[in-house]
Amino acid sequence: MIRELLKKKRLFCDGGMGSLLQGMGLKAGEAPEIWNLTNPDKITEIHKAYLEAGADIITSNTFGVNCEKYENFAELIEAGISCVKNAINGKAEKFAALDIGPTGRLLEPLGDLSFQRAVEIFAENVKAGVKAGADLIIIETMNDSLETKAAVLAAKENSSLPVFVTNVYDEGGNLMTGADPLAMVAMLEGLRVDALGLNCSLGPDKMLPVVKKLAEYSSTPIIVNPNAGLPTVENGKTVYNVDAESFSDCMVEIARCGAAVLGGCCGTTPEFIKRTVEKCRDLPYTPTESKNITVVSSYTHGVVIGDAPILIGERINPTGKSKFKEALRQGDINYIVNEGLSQADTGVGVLDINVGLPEIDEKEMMVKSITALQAVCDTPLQIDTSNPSVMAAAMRIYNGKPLINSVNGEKESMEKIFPLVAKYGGTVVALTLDKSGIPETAEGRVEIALKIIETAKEYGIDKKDIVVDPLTLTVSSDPKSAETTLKAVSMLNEMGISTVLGVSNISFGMPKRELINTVFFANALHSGLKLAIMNPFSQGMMNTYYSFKALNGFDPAFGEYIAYAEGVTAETAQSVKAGDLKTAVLKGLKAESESFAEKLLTEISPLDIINSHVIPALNEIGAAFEAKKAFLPQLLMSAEAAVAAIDIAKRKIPVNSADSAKKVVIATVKGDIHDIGKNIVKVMLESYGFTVTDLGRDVEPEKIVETALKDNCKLVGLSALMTTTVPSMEETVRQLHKADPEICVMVGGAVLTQSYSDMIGADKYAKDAMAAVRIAEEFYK
Amino acid sequence: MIKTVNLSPQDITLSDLEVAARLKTKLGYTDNAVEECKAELFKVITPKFCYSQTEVSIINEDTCRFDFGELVSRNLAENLKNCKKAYLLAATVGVSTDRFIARCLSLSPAKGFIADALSSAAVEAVCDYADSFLRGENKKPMRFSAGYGDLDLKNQPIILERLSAYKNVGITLTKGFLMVPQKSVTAILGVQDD
Repeated sequence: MIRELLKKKRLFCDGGMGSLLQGMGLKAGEAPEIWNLTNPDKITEIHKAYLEAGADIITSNTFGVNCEKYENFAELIEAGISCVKNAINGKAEKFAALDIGPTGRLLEPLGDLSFQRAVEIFAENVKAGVKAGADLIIIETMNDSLETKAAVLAAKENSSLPVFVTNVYDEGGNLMTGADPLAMVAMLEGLRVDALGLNCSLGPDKMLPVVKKLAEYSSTPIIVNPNAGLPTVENGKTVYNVDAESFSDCMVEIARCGAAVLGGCCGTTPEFIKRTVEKCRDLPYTPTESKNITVVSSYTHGVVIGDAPILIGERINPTGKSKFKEALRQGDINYIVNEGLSQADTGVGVLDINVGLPEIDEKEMMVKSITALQAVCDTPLQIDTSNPSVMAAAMRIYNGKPLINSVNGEKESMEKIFPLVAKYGGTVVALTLDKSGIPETAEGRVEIALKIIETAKEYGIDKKDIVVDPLTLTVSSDPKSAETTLKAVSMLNEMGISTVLGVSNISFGMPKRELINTVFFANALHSGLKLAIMNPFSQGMMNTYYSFKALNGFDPAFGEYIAYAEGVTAETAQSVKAGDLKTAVLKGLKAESESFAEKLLTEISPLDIINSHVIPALNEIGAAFEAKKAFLPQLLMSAEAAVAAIDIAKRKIPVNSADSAKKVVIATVKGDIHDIGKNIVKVMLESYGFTVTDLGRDVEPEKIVETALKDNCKLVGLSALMTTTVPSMEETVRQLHKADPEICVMVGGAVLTQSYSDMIGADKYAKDAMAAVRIAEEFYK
Repeated sequence: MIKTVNLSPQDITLSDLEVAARLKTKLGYTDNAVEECKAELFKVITPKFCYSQTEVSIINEDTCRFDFGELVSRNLAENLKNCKKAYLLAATVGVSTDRFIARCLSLSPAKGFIADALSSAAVEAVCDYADSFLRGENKKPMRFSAGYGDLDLKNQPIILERLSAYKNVGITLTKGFLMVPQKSVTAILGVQDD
């Protein structure tokens, strides 16, 4: 019913609870929610005061309740809802809202709360609220977009109640974890919430800029519950610096900006709500209009599709890349993250992610990769998989609104993908093919596109959430293929439908593919292409992209073009620097080391490069480090430059011939999450040619034993930073020796000493990374 | 009464001594990589702190009583022996810094190490700023944090709750009592009687 009401009129929420309760005797430090059980009459009294002030939506006193904090959380929630319902006492068009606040913890991988656990915690609140008879759910004071998503999913999966969401924005207009208003609108509309907006933290005047942005993007009613300004102290009591009069004046302006639900947060009282209702009730009300914006988002920002063309980096994909395939088999997530970060630096708007390989668990790999990527890379992702269950798992944990690659005109495809889009949100790529294959004509492809868009409507998916891929087929098998595709792009563009193409497919089977690709790309952009899936390291393609934008008014002051052109010049200049490989490694210059190694490879053997240039440099910097004449940052940079040069040299060495016998397994022990030290040891060992299996941090003893045995590796390195995790190290040493007495265990880390090491039965103690290298060299002598 | 102070990155200055200690170099060492990393770091940090004042009484040689409860620690009692008041402080350089360190680490272990070290120095710089702000010239006794000496890390929740540190500056705790954002500090700053 509340959904219908919002189409007709503005609604009002209640205001603050905490300071009123303190006035009634709640002690500092006492949890307000306990009063639902101990003083229900007083809680009900406050709810009644808000109803009398004119509030339509009364929120339960359950903000701080969850099953991790309270064993009797369900009882507290039921009592809280009862207080609201007793106050409402059957009055028409007044609503009892289950109030849900944040858990106060951060989600993985930054914090230690898993997404699934967060959903479970919120689900318990929702179930209790539904049982108690709540009319709607308000998820409020959310600082983090991912936690917000967990709460919304819990609400949707455990009830059919309307869901309102308010986030906390800082003065800069972002959530604590980075999201801007467009990113939140994209994600929350994708999740189909009934109202979205902001609360707490700021007074109403400071909220205006965010409200305006929300109003610009949101097709969903906007809810605004500000604080009564900022807290100050008067006569030993906390008071807020905006009074009811100026608060309500500001709320008038907020209402005029298009907010549909108005209320208050910390420091506001029934007086604030009363005046707000009086001043805003009769203002003209226009139901929130649908904005025709196609958008995808990450945890920080949204990317609007349909204006300037946008690049989608295609490099996170194993097809035709043996190194990538190997990384997937090894579970090397860092490799994937690096592919993402290096593409993000080129200015692509979206990153495609495809980790499908027959012999691996694609779902696990996809979830792990997205989790790792969205911790460090704020470029929105295009989830690329043909397996709907992988797609579902990925969409569930994605921190934003993704591009979905893809659906096609076949009934089965739409039946599997559209429900996911309707549940989790996303902009979906529609391939213009169906049971009969790919139509030969542009008209045939457009027809399929329209059919897909029509079917999507049945699932509540708007046309704006679909971009069409009219398919690029190689020109080598059909000379007309480019013409057909470009015509379809033009036709769709004229119909206001955004298009996407995998551009480089056009030259499949041709020599010098980039030549064909760039011309086709330019033509496609000219035909109105909005999204191009391509390789951002192809200079020809990037030249085309930036030039097109400069020539067509998408780069008004040529700022992007000039910055790009300067980058190209700098790169060319760098590659001709004079010097030699040894100096480059000594100085820790990675790019230079790589180019010198390339050059040397034409003159001497790969092993000579390593033995006469790289190793002497490493020995020199290593000796300087040991003599305290060089320092850890220098040592590490030299090691990385060495690894880069060795990688180049290794390409010419037959696999398994060199040092693959010199293996070391390393890990940070169970219970310890610090891995800086272990990572340093890894780089140093690798620079000296050891093959390192890095098991990561917080690793079970059993896993370390299993890996050492499986790899037949006799040298294991363990790291621990905290005294509390030394026992765990001791247990790992014990299990390793038990499994194979020949295994040599070296240990290191901030808290360890030689005597500690002896005490826990380790074979070797490495005081620093160089010492670890010396031990390994000695071991494999 | 809890107050929150949002700083801009330009408000804080990294201490050379702290940087050298964290980078494990000699005092004054720097190079391109360190300087570049510092410049990038200062674009992402969101330094802020919140504090509140509390009465202090030393109950016995290993227990101090504050407005918000008691803390058991011989070292803390020693630290606060001449104080009747103290400030409770929670400082951080924000969750964007955690993302920055992780990003650097993915790209290069050397850069990750440098970013981690500089970020540690940055949150110390926030503490130094807060200390001057609160205690002026007389920064004695030394700031005392949970995890120092015999003041157990398990006291972290009481301190963070007292400061509403999640709401005010976004500091959360893991199950193992480690703070997230990682580069966060809580401390008790005794105020000596004149």
